[in-house]
Amino acid sequence: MKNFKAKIIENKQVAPQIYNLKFEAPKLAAEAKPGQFVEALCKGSGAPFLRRPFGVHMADTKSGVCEILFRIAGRGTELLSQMSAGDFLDITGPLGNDFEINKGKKHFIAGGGMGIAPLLFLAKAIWQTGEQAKIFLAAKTAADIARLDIFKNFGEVILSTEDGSLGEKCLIDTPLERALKTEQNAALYACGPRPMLRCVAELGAKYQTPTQVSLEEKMACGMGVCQGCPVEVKNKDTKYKMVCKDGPVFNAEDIVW
Amino acid sequence: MVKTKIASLELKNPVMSASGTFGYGKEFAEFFDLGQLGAVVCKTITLKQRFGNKPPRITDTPYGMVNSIGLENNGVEYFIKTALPFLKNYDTKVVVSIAGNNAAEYGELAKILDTEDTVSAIEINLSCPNVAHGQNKCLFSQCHISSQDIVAQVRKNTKKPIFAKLSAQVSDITPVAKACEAAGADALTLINTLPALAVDLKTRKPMLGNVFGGLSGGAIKPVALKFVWEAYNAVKIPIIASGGIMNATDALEFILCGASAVQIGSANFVNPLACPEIVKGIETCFEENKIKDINELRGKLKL
Ligand SMILES: Cc1cc2nc3c(=O)[nH]c(=O)nc-3n(C[C@H](O)[C@H](O)[C@H](O)COP(=O)(O)OP(=O)(O)OC[C@H]3O[C@@H](n4cnc5c(N)ncnc54)[C@H](O)[C@@H]3O)c2cc1C
Ligand SMILES: Cc1cc2nc3c(=O)[nH]c(=O)nc-3n(C[C@H](O)[C@H](O)[C@H](O)COP(=O)(O)O)c2cc1C
Repeated sequence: MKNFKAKIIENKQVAPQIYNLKFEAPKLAAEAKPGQFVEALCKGSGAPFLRRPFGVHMADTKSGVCEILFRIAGRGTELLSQMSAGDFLDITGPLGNDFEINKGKKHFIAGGGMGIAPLLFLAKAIWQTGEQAKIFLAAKTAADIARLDIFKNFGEVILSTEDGSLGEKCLIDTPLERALKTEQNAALYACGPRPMLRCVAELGAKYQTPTQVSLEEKMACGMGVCQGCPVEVKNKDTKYKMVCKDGPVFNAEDIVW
Repeated sequence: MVKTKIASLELKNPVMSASGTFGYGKEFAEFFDLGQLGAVVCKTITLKQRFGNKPPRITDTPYGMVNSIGLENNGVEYFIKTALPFLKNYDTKVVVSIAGNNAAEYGELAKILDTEDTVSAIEINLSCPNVAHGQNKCLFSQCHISSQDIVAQVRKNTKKPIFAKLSAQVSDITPVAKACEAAGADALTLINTLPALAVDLKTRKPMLGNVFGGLSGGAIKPVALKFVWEAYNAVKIPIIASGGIMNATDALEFILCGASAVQIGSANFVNPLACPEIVKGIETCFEENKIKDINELRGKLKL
């Protein structure tokens, strides 16, 4: 966990409203694990006040380059989209826990909307172990699916959109369930909107497949200090766990959906 | 020399963390040596574990934030077992913030902490806006009688220095400030967050699960300055400032308005190195202006 100023190498629009920001961060690249996130200071005059969390989209130890992938959602991300090569970005990280790669399993990665952001790094890590991953990407419409070509480097990609403009016209659970029916030895890794994750959790339970989900909650400190980002868990000792420190990755069966 | 004194407590510099924004110091120790701080003020603890409010608990507002944590903590026993042994390793003072549902609970907490050597002082949180007390849901520090009762009860149970942390949610701070002083408080900390509401126009819902929360950050600095100055003029005991201190200049402004020490809160979230940077900034200012003692600046506001 470090705080540093990272030099931006490139900030490229890769889909409508979606940006891929690359920056120099050798220490982060060396330390970050798939599923972890960073908090970036999106400086404006007065607002936003707090840092904004983003999953580590990619980290390359050799070049020392890290990436985030973000969608313009409000003021902070709008300011971030205006930064360009040569600018310095104030970053804290790596933060949170990471996905545990279930060795020997057939890996099913499921990303919905911007939930794909931390999953590229995971897909690469699984690919590096030499094991196979199936990557399910879903969005409202074709334009929202970013980074498709890069995902394809790390496994078979199965696409679905709500309007049918790319891949199958359905929600992510349709192709996912089909795959789970024929694969008894799968492990699920998912990130996306809450309703999607609840659905993936239900599928995981139905097919007795270990399921890890990466959650989002508004947060302040990002490191377990302020108790600001609770998620309700099925646990005798405590009602809540913190997304920033105990997560963002949780076992789906531990969450009160 | 930037050292300062709060009753019998000597601090190497006037910078403390603010309760609830620094945990028990562990996470920040990864960023800097806690020994650089005058004191670490811990997250408020209660007798029993508290789960806190339902999410969302945080929202961003112009120049600040609104929170409704609801004093989530694991209780005093857990605190003594885990936080104190860790903090003992650092060359800084440890201030423990406490809260209870009534004067007796505050007294009991003080009694338990009184025997802990690592605890240098106790801050009595009389002003958390995220927990309701009594039928009319007012804050203890909005009532000078409740405040006096609680401070007196804590005083009875400990010899350690005690600070009373007050709310700005009163029309006049003088009665409650004087009541705390009379009941034996060694210092006053002010202000806590300001009760606030943030809404989402699109969904027509409040931003926070608890509906209301407490506003903190730069946005509340002018309010805090006013209360620090008024309290400074109302009592003889030292004032510890809290509210919107984002940098060394802010901290120095509070000292000018009468503060003997300052607490850094929300700034820790924006910049994890805020505390040590503010210490450095105060030292530099004192050197450059040949200020040899904090009292040369403290309360020297020219009217
Ligand atoms: C652990 C974690 C990892 C994340 N990773 C990514 C990522 O890789 N790429 C990406 O595009 N986004 C990611 N997000 C969401 C991203 O942080 C928010 O979109 C961003 O903070 C919005 O800031 P803003 O100032 O632009 O918008 P605001 O004006 O603050 O808000 C705009 C909208 O975004 C929502 N929002 C604000 N903060 C958060 C938050 N912390 N989590 C979820 N929603 C929020 C608000 O409720 C509102 O609807 C992540 C969030 C978390 C908690
Ligand atoms: C997330 C958060 C949690 C807080 N928790 C506590 C607490 O447990 N006890 C307390 O006395 N004050 C608490 N406070 C108030 C701060 O200690 C401080 O008085 C207030 O935030 C104003 O200072 P600031 O503007 O520098 O943040 C909390 C503030 C924040 C933002």
